[in-house]
Amino acid sequence: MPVEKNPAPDPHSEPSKAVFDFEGRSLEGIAGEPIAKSLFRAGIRILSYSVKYHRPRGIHCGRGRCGMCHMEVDGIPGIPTCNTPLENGMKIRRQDFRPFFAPVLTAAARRFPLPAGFYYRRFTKPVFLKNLFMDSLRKMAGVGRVTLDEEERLAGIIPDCLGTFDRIKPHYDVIVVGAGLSGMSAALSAASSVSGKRGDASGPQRNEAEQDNMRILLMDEYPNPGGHSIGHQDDSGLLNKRDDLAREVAEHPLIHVASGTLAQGFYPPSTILIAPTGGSIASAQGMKQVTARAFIFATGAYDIIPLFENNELPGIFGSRAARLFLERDGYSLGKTAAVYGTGAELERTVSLLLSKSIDITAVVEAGANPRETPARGSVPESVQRISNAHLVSANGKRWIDSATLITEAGRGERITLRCNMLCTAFRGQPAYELPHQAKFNFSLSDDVLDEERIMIPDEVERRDATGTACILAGEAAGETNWRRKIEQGKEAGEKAANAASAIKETGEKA
Amino acid sequence: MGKTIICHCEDISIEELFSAVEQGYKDIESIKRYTGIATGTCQGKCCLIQTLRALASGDDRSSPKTASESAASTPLKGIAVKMPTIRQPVIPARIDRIIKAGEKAVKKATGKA
Repeated sequence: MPVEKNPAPDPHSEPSKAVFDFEGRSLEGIAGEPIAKSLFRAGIRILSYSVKYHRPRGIHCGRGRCGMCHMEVDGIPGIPTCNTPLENGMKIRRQDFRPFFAPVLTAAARRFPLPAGFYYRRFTKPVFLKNLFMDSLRKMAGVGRVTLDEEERLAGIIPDCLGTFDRIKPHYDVIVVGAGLSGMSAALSAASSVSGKRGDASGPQRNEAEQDNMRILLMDEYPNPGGHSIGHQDDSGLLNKRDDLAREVAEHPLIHVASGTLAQGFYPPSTILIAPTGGSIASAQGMKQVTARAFIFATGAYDIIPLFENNELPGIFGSRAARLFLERDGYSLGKTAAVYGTGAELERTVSLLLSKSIDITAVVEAGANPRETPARGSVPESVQRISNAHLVSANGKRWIDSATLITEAGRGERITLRCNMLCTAFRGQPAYELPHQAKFNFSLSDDVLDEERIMIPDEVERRDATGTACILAGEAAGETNWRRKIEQGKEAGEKAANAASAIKETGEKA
Repeated sequence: MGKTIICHCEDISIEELFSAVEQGYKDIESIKRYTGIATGTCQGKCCLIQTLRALASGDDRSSPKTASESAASTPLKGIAVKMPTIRQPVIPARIDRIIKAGEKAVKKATGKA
């Protein structure tokens, strides 16, 4: 597999400076680092404003998913600046309300509450006025125009993953979505089950003919495999295992590793829609449909920020996002952090922040009975701990400056903690989109704490009438322990390989 | 300031969600259509679970209510908490890329014919 360009700057190469333009100001950053990082260093922390109430929004999820960091880059709107690499000469601007309109409209929105969807429900008659309204609203909201001649420009923004995308075949035996620990181990075990039956073999070097032999597609949206193992730098066992798995999948003759490839949808029974990523810009290559006999969704989990006042203020983000900022991008969004969470995720986040020499104002544990007995070994006793507390609000005007909590699960005293970064660390929500499209049922977990309740899949395996299997593995199935994730991936791979060969046999008989 | 935003893409506060419930929208599909929750840029990745949690906070669980305590007085009981339909594409895709893909497919089809 060719080595792909990583959006994060390569530590071994000399960083090259990039001059870019932000709303008329000329700023300097480092080429290849996320745009949001350069802006942060230049003191620009507010990346957009919300549509209705004009609330400030900053970098939040780090994965281009949440839409808070979307900006206009070189005239192309909706670019996720948190994971799009900076280039020399880029023209960057915020894409929301013009400053002139903003105060007027925000005041109006506060005074006369606009219903949700006001932009298509209100002012619809007469028709010529409706068009005028829509036009000016689109301009104010910064929604851009469709551009069909941006191919070359975009090809520059996208990391060099298109080569692998082009080589993806229209059909595979097994498709594994997500190259985290469980995804990689699933692909390996599926490959060994398949090759055990068919006796395919070849060396680590591949040529075009061998490409045709590849029966398993392992895809991941990031350039490098590993998934959520980022930010576990203190666990060498995990990192060694990850590197071993990554090497094995890359060398395996039956596995096609497609990095920088995003699953955009699942169409039952057996079709998946894929697009190349680059940051999160779907590329000029468009999308592709790929079919398989069995699917493994090892799509991981993501942060859910609990409900409290101002829970979307810039400076608040989840623990998974914190790992991306600190480990992948190599910068911290603040110097003093408050951490709010439960269980192992909380401890892991605290030790990560401490290892980056970030001051911790307090570790706030939600709830009296954490799910797992946390390993507190790596967190020194000197760090202030507040147990069984309930976070009620984040305070600050343009960036968080303090957080207010109430002890004894909301019945005790009110404490205000000064911090310029608030990190929430709870169990992640399994990525539910593809499994839901594959007809998996989800129900809300019955955890005591509202903050811990997530939608978990009712089952981890489903078979269609045609025999096509869809199997969940890893954090997408609700598993959080990395050793068990690998085990689960192994089982899922075997099951998928069996299902695939069963369909093949029935097909050959018929 | 001073708002609890449940859906940051569409700027919907928790009060707006509960007022929708009071107005009689009692299942996630109609709440989604009425309020606009989970229809923004993130397509529900940040807000859907929060919404379901808030709706379920009327559940009879013998535990202290934490988040959305103020909402406990709202008559939320008996709301079916289930996943709404999640359609493709899973992650926002630029419309021109979809057009491109379509054009390619058309070219391929007509080229074959």
